[in-house]
Amino acid sequence: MVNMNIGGITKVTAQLLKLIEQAPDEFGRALMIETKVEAKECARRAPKDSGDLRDDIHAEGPERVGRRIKSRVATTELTAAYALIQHEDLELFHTNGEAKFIERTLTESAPYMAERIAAHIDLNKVK
Amino acid sequence: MYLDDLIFRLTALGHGAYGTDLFKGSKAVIPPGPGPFTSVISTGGQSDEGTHNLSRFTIAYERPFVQVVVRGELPAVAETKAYAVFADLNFRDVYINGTWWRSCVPKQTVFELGVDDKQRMRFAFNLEIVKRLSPATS
Repeated sequence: MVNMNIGGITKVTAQLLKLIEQAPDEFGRALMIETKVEAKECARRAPKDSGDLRDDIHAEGPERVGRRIKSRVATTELTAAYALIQHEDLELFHTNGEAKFIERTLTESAPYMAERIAAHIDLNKVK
Repeated sequence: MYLDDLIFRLTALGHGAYGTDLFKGSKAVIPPGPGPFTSVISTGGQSDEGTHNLSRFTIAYERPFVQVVVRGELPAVAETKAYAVFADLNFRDVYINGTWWRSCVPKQTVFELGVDDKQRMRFAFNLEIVKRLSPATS
């Protein structure tokens, strides 16, 4: 008969629980780094008249909803109605910038986004 | 190609006739008149999809985005038409002109897009499509 005594299980369990609890914060931090990059690119591609729209585009988040972590590229209420028309009206002629300035930016980044976010995650920060 | 298929489907479902009240592309010249006039415009899309049998270097499905705009002098008429088109362009697993469309789904509900240069009210929504490239690959 072999008697085994495994030590440290409680400590390991506690560490894993802490990881489960705190890792989403680290994921959110990583997500926000990339969301800010995207917001900057969206603003650069937005049509420019006075510059108010470009100045107003920003990153929001991270927001935890259950197991999901969300962020968004948004404008404030000040320019939201104007932004909708600028984003969706394909009949407008822009001397600079373009329609679909958020959608196209995010669509182009989508295939690489998971990898980019993962590169920012540092689980050593979860302690 | 997918704009042609959409026009084909809208025509088949009684939403109008191409060149009369159905138009495609950003170069389309929308005639004067009360409408309602429906136009479909390509707005880009996502990267293609492969399948088990078709490697990532062979396009199995394309995933374009399309904007649908319905305009008319009477906002209520244009809006009603926009919702009718909206309902009919929400489908899955359909052959159009011999090409397999896995899905065609509106990304949001119908929204106001303001007036055009002839002061006709415009209502719009965007579509997200997943389809085979052609009848030969369907």
